[in-house]
Order: sequence, then C-alpha cells, then structure tokens
Amino acid sequence: MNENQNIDDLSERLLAADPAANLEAPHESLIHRAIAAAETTADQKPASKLLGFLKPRNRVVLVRGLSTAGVMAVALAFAAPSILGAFPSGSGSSYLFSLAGSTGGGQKMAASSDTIGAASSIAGGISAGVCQGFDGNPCGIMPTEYNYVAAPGLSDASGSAAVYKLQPVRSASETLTLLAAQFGISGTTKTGSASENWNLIYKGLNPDGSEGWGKPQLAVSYDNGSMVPQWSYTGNPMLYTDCAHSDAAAKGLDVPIVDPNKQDPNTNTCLAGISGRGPTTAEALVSAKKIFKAIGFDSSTNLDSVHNGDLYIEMPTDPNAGRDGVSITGYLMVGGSLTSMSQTISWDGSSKDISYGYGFDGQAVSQGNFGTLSASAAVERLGNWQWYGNPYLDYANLKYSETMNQGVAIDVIAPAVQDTTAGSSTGTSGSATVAPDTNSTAPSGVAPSDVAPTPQVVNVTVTRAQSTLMTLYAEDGTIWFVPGFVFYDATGYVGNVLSIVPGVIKLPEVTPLTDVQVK
Amino acid sequence: MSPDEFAQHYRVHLPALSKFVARRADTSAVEDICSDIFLIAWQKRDQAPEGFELAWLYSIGGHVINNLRRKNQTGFKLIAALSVPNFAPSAESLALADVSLGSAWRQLKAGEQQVLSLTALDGLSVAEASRVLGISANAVSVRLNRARAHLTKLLEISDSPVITK
Repeated sequence: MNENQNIDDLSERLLAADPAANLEAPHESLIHRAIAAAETTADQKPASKLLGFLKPRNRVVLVRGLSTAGVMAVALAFAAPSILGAFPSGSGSSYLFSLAGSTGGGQKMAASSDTIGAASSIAGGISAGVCQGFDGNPCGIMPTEYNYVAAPGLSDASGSAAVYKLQPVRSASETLTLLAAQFGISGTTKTGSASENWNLIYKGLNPDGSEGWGKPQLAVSYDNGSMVPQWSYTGNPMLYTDCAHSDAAAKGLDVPIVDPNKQDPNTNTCLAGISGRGPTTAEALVSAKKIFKAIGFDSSTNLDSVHNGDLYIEMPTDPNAGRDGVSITGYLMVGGSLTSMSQTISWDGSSKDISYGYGFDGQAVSQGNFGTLSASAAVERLGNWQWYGNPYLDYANLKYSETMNQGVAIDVIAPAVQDTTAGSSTGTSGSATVAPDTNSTAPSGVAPSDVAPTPQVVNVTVTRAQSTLMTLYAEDGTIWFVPGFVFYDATGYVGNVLSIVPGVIKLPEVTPLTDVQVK
Repeated sequence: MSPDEFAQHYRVHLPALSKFVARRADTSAVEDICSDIFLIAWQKRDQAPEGFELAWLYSIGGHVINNLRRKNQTGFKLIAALSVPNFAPSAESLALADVSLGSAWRQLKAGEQQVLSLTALDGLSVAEASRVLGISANAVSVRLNRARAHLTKLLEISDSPVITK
C-alpha cells in the first residue's frame, strides 16, 4: 500500500466516522435572525423612542379588532420596552425576536380594564370580579383566579408552523406617492417631527406649509426597525359647517361654532351634516378596494377568494349603511389565517369624501417553521399574559364566555372571599356554588378592610381551539405573525395564546403582582 | 452589504458550518452556536476575506465554541454538552462509529486533530485551513503530513487483533 492509498483510506475512514454526517442543516432563516439579533443588541432602544412609532391614531386603530388581551399586548409594545434587558450574551441571538413589553405597563392595563380577558391577563391568571352584597349593590372588587383546564377532546398533537415577519415592499416615500394619488392629495412632501428611530412624512399641508387640521392630509410613518410604512389619512375636518352658527363668518371666526340646535344632544354629531350624503356601502367598497389595490393588496368580501397577502373585507350587513357613515376594513391573510393586521377607509356620511383611513404597506414573509404546542398543552398559557397575542376575531359575531364575562363564580371550586364574620355569605348572589369560608377571620387588631381577600377560583374548561396567527410587535419595532390558538369554552370565547414552543421568541419578563396592585 | 445580500451570500455555507459545529459540540447546541457565528460575522462582515468565507466562518466558530466552553467551565451552564478541550471533534464522537479510530484519535496531539479534522472532515483545503489556524500553508502541510502518519501508525496498533496467551 503506497502512501497516497494510505491517505485516501484514512480520509474515507474519518468521513465514515463523521459524527455530523447525518446532521440536517438549520433553516437559513437562522442567518436573518442572527442579523436581526445583532442589530438589536447593537441598538437597544429606550422607551421614548418607540413611543413615537406611530401616530396616536394608528396606535389605537392599526390593529383593529383586538381582544382585550390583544389590546394589552399592543399596549405593552408601546409601554416601556426599555425595561427589557439586552439579550443574554451567547444565547440571546437564538431568539427570533424579542417581544416588546413590560410588566409595569401590563399591570396598569390589566388592572384598569373591565372587560374579559384583561383580568386573567394579570400574571397568574388572577382577575378582579364584581360581587354584590345582600342588597344587590356592588360590594367591592373580589379577586378571581381562573383555572384553565383542557377538555378531554382537545387535541394533544404538537406540530410545527411558520412564523412570518412583515417586511416592506417599497419605501415610505413611494407609499406616500401612491396613496396621495388615490386620495387626490397634491403639494409638497414634508418630513414631520420624529424621534431617532421612527420617521414621519406628510403630504397635504396647510397653505402656509404647516401641519395641522386645515385640509386633508396623508401621513406615512415608519420605524427604523421594521421599515414598514404605516399610513394614515385625515379628510377635511371642516365637515360640520352645516352646524355652524350662521353668523360665524360675520363675526370673523375662523373656526365654525356648532349650533346646538343642529346637533344631536346624545351623540354630539351634526344632524345637518349626516343627512345621507355618504356613499352607499357598495360605493364605499369599490373606493376602498381601489385604494388597497394601489399599494398592492387584492381584497374581497368572499373569504374563499382571499389568498395569502390579500385582504378580507368584513361587510356591513345593511347595504345602505354607508349613507350614514361606513368603514371598510380589510384584514391581512397570512399563511392561510386571517390576522388582525388591517387597513380601513371610512366615511362619516356627511359627504362622499373619505373622512379618514389608515393601514400599512408591507408583506408577510415566512421566517421558517418552528415547533408548536398542542392545543391542550397551550391551555395552560391562558394564565400567563406573556403568551398573549393579537388574533383576528370576528367581533360582530363573537360570543364571549359566560363563565368569564360575568365576573362572578359560575363553577367555583374553592372558597371565595375571606370575611371577617364567620359563616357569612361571600355575597356572590346568583351563584349557589359559592361556599363561605367559615374559617376565615381577620387577625386580631386588623381592620376588615385591611384583610386581603382570598381569590375565588373559577374553573374554565376549554372545549375548542382554533389555530391562527397572532400579530406581535417586537422590541425593535418589527411586526410578526406567530402561531397561536383562540380558545373557547362551552359558552364562548375565553382568550388566546401563542402556541410557539418556548425559546423561539423572547418574552417580556414577569414580575409577580401583589394584592395591592390587583386592587 | 444589506442583510438580504449577506444572507444570500452566506447561506450556501450554512450546511457545512452546522456540521463543523456539530462535530465539536452537542447537536442540540448547533443552532445556538451557528446563530452566534452569523451574528459576529454580520458585525464583522467588512473583514470577511474574499474567497475564504467558509474558513472565516470556521475561524469565528472556533472562537465561539471555545468561549462557550470556557463559560461552561467557569460555571455558566450555557451549553453543558461542550466538553471537548480542544478545537476538534472528540474521540468519543468518532468512536461511536469506529471504536479503533476513536481510540487512535484520542492519542493524537490537539494540533494534529485540528488539522486533520479541518481537511478530512470539514472539507477545507490546505490554504483554507491555514486561514482558520492562523499559520502558513506550509506549516499546515507539514503538520498535516505528520498527523496522517501518526494516525496511520496509531490505527495499525489499534486495529491489530489482541493477542492473548
């Protein structure tokens, strides 16, 4: 055997013993994630910078149709992202993204909300239910702890699903130009006041070049993190001239004065202005679809014909509703799921001019498949707001869980409120299953009001799970669509959670909530 | 170079790089380590030697793995599976497929293991291996020849049947 033959044999033998011979390479999205992590770690943003991500209007309406939990999550995204620390060295780069959020903002939101979902979004699933005394009047706040249980029929099959990231298809200036043509806005473009990490450009300024409410305006903002243009349009705000005093002009007033006699005393809307002058719903639909199309979105009211990247439009059931004001909203379809990412065009009914609109200009791009929990395993996450997301929900037809929505125990499995009087009722009238805690008495010398009530525990049995994609805002301003479940019990909607396995996205950190904070 | 251009340019190296890492760390840590490597590569993309990108990634990977190993040894439980004390596949990992080879491999010097693994397993040329190891191509050639000869001799011993009385 010569030396070369010996060398070849040696190489072949080494290759035959290669411990990585059968290794499947990671998905190439790993490279994008690493780049994103590098950019994030290099540019940790203080809260003040991200607070300016969108105009106030967009913050509220951009992700229309959020569950309360979703609202909280969006609020978290803008609350105080700087509280999140930098990625841990060496391991943080493996996160797909870092979810914006903070416990501080979340607690405030949850404690102040009075609707379903938000209560259970407090860490640990503790809620504040409403109780009644013997006289039927509210007797204060009674904490409720929801115990989420998966019904036996819920799927226990784990799997994998794609995660998507919203990415720009054009620059903000191009978006501005395209939409300006649709809204009939001309004039110069002006850069608005903006923070270091987000930018704003306007078109349709006042005659003196100022920003403001003098004439229709189109604004496009974009965060340096996502670079996805977010647009908003404001029509002529001087639509209430019919309500103005006839002598307003004579008095040399620039701003119309509303005539109380021409105004609905209940709604403060201008009666004269709303006189069926708006477009019909059909006309509004045609106009809205044309605008959506201008920035690349096909749209349809027929869900069967909505493809990925298209918008699904929920239509008002009344075909003539548009004449008294109508909004046409399109929801983005991603990976076969409708998302809460939406665009809206609205008319107030006083004319056929668009009163306002908002939306985005980007497309969802898959970042690869990631492991997902089964529905039954994900139920547990309902007790942890960290896992909440923003799904598309058909609010017009959504029926909320009676178990959670009533705020009182329906299926109580543990003693409820501690009372200073042994044997007293817990006061949850209408709920015969509530058991008094006869052993609970206030410690000697402690006033009754100082005794922290023991949360009542309510079982919520999840019987149905709907797979979907949740809209999430990352700490760096990027927007993602992540797999999740919308859960229902036998009586209706319970909540929603992400189903992605732990370790893919970095969650907001949790600080345990004290009883005082719950109050 | 934009992120997309970077990803487009380097994605071809991902399979080889992931195997490079898997030979030196637990397979469950491959994605984490590859992420770290690309994170650094992105940050230092202006320093990438044209034509030697894979060797450059290996070089970064070597540092990343060694850093993690050091952290692991000093109490960081980042990747517990990292236990090989040098920049080469472990004898145990090779022994899973070839006990004799694993036994012989264990007796090689660290430098010999490095140069053999880079060329025979990781698929680098002598010139590329010299980039990773930071030594001249001539030095790599000399070290490689010696390593091959040494391993061959060790295998002759390891492969020979045990003689018993």
